[in-house]
Amino acid sequence: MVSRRQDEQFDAFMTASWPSLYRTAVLMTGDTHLAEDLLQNAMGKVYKSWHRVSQVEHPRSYARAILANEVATWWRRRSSSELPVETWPEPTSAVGLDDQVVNADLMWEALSTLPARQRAVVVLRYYEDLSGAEIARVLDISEGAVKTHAHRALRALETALTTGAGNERGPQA
Amino acid sequence: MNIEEIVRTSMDQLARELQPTVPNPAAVRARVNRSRRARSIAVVGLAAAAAAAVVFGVSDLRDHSSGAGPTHSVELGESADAVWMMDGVLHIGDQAYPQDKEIVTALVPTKNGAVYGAPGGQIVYQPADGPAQVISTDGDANPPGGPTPVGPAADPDSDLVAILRWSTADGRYDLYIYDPARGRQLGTGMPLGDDTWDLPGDPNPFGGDLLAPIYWVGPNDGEYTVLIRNRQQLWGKYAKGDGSASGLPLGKAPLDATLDVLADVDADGTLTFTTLDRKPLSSVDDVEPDGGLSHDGVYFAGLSADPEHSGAVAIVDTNTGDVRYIDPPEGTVPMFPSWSRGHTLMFRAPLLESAPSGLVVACDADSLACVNVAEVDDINQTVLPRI
Repeated sequence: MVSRRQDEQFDAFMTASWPSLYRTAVLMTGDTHLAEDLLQNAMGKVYKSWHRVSQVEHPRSYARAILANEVATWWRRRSSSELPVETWPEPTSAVGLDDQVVNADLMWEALSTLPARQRAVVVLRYYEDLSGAEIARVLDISEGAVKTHAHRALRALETALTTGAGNERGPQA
Repeated sequence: MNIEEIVRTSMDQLARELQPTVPNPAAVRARVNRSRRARSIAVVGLAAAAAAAVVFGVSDLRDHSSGAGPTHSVELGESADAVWMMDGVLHIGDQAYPQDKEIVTALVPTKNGAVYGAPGGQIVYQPADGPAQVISTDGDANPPGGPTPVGPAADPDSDLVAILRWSTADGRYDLYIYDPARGRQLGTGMPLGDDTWDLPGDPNPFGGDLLAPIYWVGPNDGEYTVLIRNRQQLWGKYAKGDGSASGLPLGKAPLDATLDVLADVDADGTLTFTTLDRKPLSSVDDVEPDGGLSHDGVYFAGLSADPEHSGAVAIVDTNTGDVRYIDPPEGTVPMFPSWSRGHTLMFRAPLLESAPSGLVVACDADSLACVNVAEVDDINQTVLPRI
C-alpha cells in the first residue's frame, strides 16, 4: 500500500525526472508521442513499486531501466512488420566530421536507420553517459554485446553522417 | 572531432531542442490505482477493468497536462534579488523588461542588471535603469559554422561579464571580459593557452556543454579571476587589463567551483566540499547535486534525497555540512533550484493539481524565508538565473 507521503514523494520524483527521461525516450524512439506513451507506462510501473524503489534503489536509474524495457518491448512488437535498413541513401551533400554539431535533421535520420538495439546502446552510452556494464544491466545483454552494438552503430552513423541522408526529418510529432 | 564526440554533442543538441511537458503525476497514480481496483474486481466482471483502461488512457493524461491555468489564489510577493525570464520578458526584482532578443543560453544576474546569451552569439546586458544593449566584441562574434560563445558568466558583485569566444585566427577559445555598465571591454580577447584545451583524445574541451564550463569569480587585486572547467580539468585563469592572461591547472574538474569552495560528487552520490586547493571542508549524503554553489561558496543547494525531507530543497552549509530544508509551497514540488544574487535561491514549483501551471519561488538561504514571485500558466517556459 502506498501512503500519502509516498504519493507526494513519487509526484516530486516524476515531476523532476520526467524532462530528462522524456528526452532519452524520444532519442530512443524518434517519436515524441510514442516516447510520451512509453514513459507514462514506465512511470506507472515505477509507481507500482514505489514503496520499494524509493527506499532501496536510485529511483531515476530504476525508471530508466523500466523505460528501456518498455522501448525494447515496443521494438519486439513492431519487429515483425519492420524491414531492416540494408542500404544507405545516395549521398546528397558532404558533411565534414570536424563540425562540432552536425545538422540536427541529419542526425535524426542517421539515428532512425540504426537497428533498435544499436540505437538504444548509442543513446544510453552517449546521451545518458552510462558505462558498458551499466548498459548491459539496463538492456539485459552481455557487456560484450554492448561493445559490439556500439561499434557497429558508430560505424553506421559515421557512414551516414559523412555521406549525408536524403530524407532528413526530425522526431515524429 | 571524432565520431564519438560528434554523436555525443549532437544528441545533447537534439535533446535540448525537445520541450517536454510534464503530465500530472496524480493522473499516473490514478491510472495505476484504478487498474489495481479493476483487477481486484475482475472476478466479478471483466467490464470494470476495460472501463478503467478507457477512462484512464494515455491520451487522457495529455489533456491533464495541457489544462487551463490555475484556478485558486496564491499569495505573491517580491524579492529584490529575484532574476528570471518568461515569454520574452526579463524580471529583475519587481521590474519587468520586455526583450527584443530571444534567450538561448544562460541568464546570469549582475550587480545592477542581468545578462543572457541571444541567437547569433550575441550577449545582451539589461541594466536595471536603462535600455538593453548588446555587448560588442572586437573578436569573432560567431564565425559561420563555428562554435557559439561559451557563457556568459557574470559577477553579481561587480557587473563584470566573462565570455569565451572562438577565434578562427587562433583556432582556439579566447577569454573576453566586459564591464557593460560602463560600456567597456576590459582588454582584448585573451588567448587561452593550448595546454588548457588540447587534451589528448579529447578534441571537445567542454563535452558539448556550452553553459557550465565557466565560473566567473570577479576582480581580485587588479586581476580578473575566472575559473574554467573543461571535460577533465579545472583551470584558474587570471586575466589582466592589459589583455594578457595566465592560468594554472587546479586538478580534476569538479561539479561546481567558486574561488573559495569546490563541490564534487562521487559515484555513491556523496557531495564533498573542499577549498580550491582540495583541503576537505565537509561532505553530505542525501542531497541531489542539481543546484550548485552560491556565488560565494557559502551554500550549496539541491533537491533533498533524504526520505525524511522528501520533496524539499536542501541548503548545505559547505563549511560545516549542516543541512537545512525549504519546503515548497503547498501543493507543489520544487524543481531546478538555482542561485541568483547573494544568498537568494530560486526554484520552479509546478502545481500538482494543474501542471504545467506553477510558481516561481525565491528564498533567502540565510533565513529560509520564501516568497512566490510569480504564478504562471506554464512553468516550463520560465528561465531561472545561473550563477
